[in-house]
Amino acid sequence: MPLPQREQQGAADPPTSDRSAEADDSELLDEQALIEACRRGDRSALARVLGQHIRVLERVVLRMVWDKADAEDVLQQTLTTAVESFSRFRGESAIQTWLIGIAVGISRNHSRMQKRRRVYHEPAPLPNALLASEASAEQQAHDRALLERLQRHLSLLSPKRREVWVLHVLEGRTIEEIAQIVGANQFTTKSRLFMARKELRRRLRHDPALSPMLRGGNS
Amino acid sequence: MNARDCARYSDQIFAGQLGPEGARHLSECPACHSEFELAKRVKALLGESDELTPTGARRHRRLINTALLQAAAPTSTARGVRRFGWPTALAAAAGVALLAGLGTLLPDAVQKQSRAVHAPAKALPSETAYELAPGAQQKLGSITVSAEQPARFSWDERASRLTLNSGAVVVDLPPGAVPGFHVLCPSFRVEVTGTRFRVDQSSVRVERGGVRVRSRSTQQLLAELEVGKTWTIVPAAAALEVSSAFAQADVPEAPPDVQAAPGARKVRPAPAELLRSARNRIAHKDVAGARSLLGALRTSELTPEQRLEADSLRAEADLVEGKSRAAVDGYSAAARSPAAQAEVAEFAAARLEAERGDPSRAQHLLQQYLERHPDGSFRREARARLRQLGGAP
Repeated sequence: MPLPQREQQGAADPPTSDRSAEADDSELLDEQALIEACRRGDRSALARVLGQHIRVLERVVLRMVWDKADAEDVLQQTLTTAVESFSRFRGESAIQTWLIGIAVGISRNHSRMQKRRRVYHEPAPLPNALLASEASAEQQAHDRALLERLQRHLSLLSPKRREVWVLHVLEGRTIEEIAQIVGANQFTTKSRLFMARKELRRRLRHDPALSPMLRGGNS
Repeated sequence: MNARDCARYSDQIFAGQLGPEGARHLSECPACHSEFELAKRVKALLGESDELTPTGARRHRRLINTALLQAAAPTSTARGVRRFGWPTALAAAAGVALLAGLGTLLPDAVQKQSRAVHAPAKALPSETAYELAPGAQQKLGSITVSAEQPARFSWDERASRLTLNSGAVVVDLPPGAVPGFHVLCPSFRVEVTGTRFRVDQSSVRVERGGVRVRSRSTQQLLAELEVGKTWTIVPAAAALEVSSAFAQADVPEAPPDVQAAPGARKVRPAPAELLRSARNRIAHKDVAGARSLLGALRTSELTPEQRLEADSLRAEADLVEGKSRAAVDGYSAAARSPAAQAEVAEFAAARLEAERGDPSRAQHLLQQYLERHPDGSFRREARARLRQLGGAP
């Protein structure tokens, strides 16, 4: 199975010299050794690998659950699950793809659990930490309102559609990569994305605060 | 432009690989253009800073360290990890550590593989992990471990330690075979000489011989059990015991509100932490665990908001257990809180009552909600439900 495009970019570039080719080879060997060490349960290797990807995981999780405290819980569980199941990592996808797959699965379960609790937790207030910090207080309040509305619309999508939309539109993952992450084939992934877009666009069009963001969208 | 074109160029547009054809499609397709603009706007709103602050780096280190501890060392992680808040970690790592003085006995080579699943991957290198289906048995030297519920445990032959990660097991130890054998649970310790007993995370039942139960943290004798006797830890005591163990954990960075002063031996978690953990437990349908944590809060000084949340969580625990009547009462009681969010509990009671199928009481609660909170967050839904029930909105 090919590596996701994002992680292939460096390897696909032709080496500029023998030295850089050697460096690439040695990096590849290092990575293989690192993965093997992780499979054996080597803590320092695991810490290194998780340290390389934790920021991406945090961002993905935050965009999946939209709540900083919950995101930290999901992230913690993702890391723990990754450590526990690293021996089962077969190397058929990039490590990051595999880790994001775990994060997405746990986020999905978390969303399902939360659904039952909406009785008294909806609408969840959006924390300041989710917003760009350099904005003024007034602008932040406006942004928060917009994001809360978007969050509400997204939360009404099914988890499978929502995660595909978030991974593709907000995270910039390719369809192929998303298919690996969510464990579906590309056709199914495209279908989920199409349905998510259609549904979200319909919802946003009827939202006076968000419809200006969709100006020109007529599909 | 059609949907097929949109799908074809989608990777180019959103995955940052925009080629000439993709750019042309983006400029010509209003749907893709508007979605692209929406994504840009949302990403800008969320902030795309790549700078990692020192605080963020520390938090990341803490999360990774916790994950490593939690996954690999159940006995120590029972005291300091955060996985859905610390008590969920506690649930995950509520490992019953069986420090078995088994001498040089090695795990029996003959394992009943028919129902036992050998899963060495999840354990430390020196440990062997087992997963037993109910009724399955595993021989570890002269000790026989049988699962009463689906159980996961690991056996460390070097440390002569058996760690129960989940479930309930019956441990059968021939008299005199392993002097000094004892079982460590998150909140208590069971000392045995030669006996057969059942143990889970909160209770011990003796089937042969006798055992002594001691507090894990203070070593105080809690019970001496003979054949046929059962001992169960008081839930609130369990929460406190474990919380004290949590405070003593050797974790690089404990959560801030649990971090004790240097040298402190017992620190009770902050109410907010207990509430958060109880919430997570309910989310995982661990109602008993949530109730024990909420029980520990009864003696704490809580703010009105915390009291409201505790009451709401009790009501939700009732709901999870299928006691909808009690849940309505619980929400109604919570709604008497002076906290601003009491409105939510009040509406929850009304909505739940409407869903239970008691229209007259539901109408009363919905009307009461609308009277008290004419501008409440749920006023529209309350009016709609009232109309549905035939009452005046």
